[in-house]
Amino acid sequence: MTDESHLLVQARSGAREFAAFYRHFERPVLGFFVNATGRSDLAADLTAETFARALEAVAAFDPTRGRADQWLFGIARHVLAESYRRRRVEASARARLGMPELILDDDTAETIVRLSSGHGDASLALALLPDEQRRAIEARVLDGREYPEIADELRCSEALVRQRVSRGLRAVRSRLAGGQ
Amino acid sequence: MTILPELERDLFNAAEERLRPATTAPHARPSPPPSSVRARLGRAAAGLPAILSVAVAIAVAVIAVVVLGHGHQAGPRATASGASGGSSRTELIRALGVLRRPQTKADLDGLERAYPRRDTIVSPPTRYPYEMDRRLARVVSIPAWRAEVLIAPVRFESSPTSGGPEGVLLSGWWAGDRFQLPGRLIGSPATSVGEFLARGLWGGPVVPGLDVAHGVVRGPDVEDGVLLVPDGVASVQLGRVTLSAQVAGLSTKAMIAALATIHGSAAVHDNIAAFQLAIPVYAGRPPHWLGPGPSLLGAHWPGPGPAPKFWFPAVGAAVQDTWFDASGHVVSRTTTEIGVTLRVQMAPAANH
Repeated sequence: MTDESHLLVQARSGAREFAAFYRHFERPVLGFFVNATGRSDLAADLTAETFARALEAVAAFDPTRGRADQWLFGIARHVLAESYRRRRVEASARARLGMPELILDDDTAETIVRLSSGHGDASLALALLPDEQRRAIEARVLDGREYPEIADELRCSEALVRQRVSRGLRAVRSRLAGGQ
Repeated sequence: MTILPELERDLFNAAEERLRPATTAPHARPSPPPSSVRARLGRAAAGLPAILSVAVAIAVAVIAVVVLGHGHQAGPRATASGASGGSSRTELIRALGVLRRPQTKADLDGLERAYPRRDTIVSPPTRYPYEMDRRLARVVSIPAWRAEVLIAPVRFESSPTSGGPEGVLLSGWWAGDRFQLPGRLIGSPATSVGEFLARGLWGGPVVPGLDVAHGVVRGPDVEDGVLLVPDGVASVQLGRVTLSAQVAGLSTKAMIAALATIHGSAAVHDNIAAFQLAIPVYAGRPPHWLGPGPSLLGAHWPGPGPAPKFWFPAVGAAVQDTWFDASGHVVSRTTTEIGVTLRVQMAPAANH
């Protein structure tokens, strides 16, 4: 189990532990969202929603089925995609938990913007892909893994993995070039 | 220090309710949605698709490094929970001769350098918050490296489960031109007493000559690591090294091959075995740089300027190590989680 999975398992046991989990992942998650949206206020609210959902789901985290960061960023991707689909920032988990509105001052907004790598469009384009295409691209292009291994993991044929990678990359390029 | 302390506080409050024992925990406490912010953000989100603009396709990798690249930060200290119960501060002091000597001014000076009482350095996240026993902090010098290693007992605020609340901390800093912030490159690994007694505690890697901005190692192509071991161990030999955590963008097979080249042995002084290892070379398909910028994770070059040819990620590994006593008899064969830096040749950067 990774450090982060330990941290997440610990996070089930109390508020202090969950706060520690939040502190550990705050910057990466904020960075992910500011890359995706280019906006610090949106990044902050999407981050808040992501952690609220993580809190709701933390009891279900199973360290034998995946890493904590993958689990958390899975939630983050979902929140992002859902927000784009509905054209508003999701706040349902925060509402359920009774969490108040976040207000950013200028310094904080600037700090968040500095987390951006400047390549947010690509992050967003990838995040908005259908799940099976995104997973295939992550495994092949980003992890550099071999097709047979990916096919085995995704329980599909090698040809299908190739097709998903190809179509996914085409969709990403199209989106980056200005398409939808 | 967090960027959004209000959010941390709100989550803490929500978690107090949520993670309370089941008899009282409301799983879906009704509450009005934060309508004002939703309206505000709704308007903003409506304009979001407009931010999609031309970018290079290779930058796709950004997200995966954020999403998956965290693995290499998921450091080698993942085993605290594996310790046996019943370990205690007394047991630790009994096992570490260096803690039994009187505290000197050098110890206090070193402690203050590493962990100033008024610490303005934002420390990296720790696995478990802990409180250090400053009275028992001891510093061990490694003159050949111009390095110092701090050893201190700790009490975990949130116990690493079966490892018990008592543990030991190892931190270090390297003096000279390329001063490394204490608690950063070498990490501030802390583990439970039981885990330490069974497996030792590794600090590292530190590449003293690493110039991250230019992607080169100036001087010897080596990395340093230290292993804290109990009394009675006079030398340590590193055996087979296996990969503990994947790194996004790197081939697992090539990483394993690189790690297989690691070997070494070291004598123990003041409970510390100091290893200087040749930096393993990753020979897989060269990954791409993801671009310059203040990235926290993954293969970003710090910029400005051209992308360096090499990247030096730290990866988590497990080494099968053998501990010997002064007579050369085997004291223990164990497996220790370590951190190792790899040399990775990068593909040329795309134009961003």
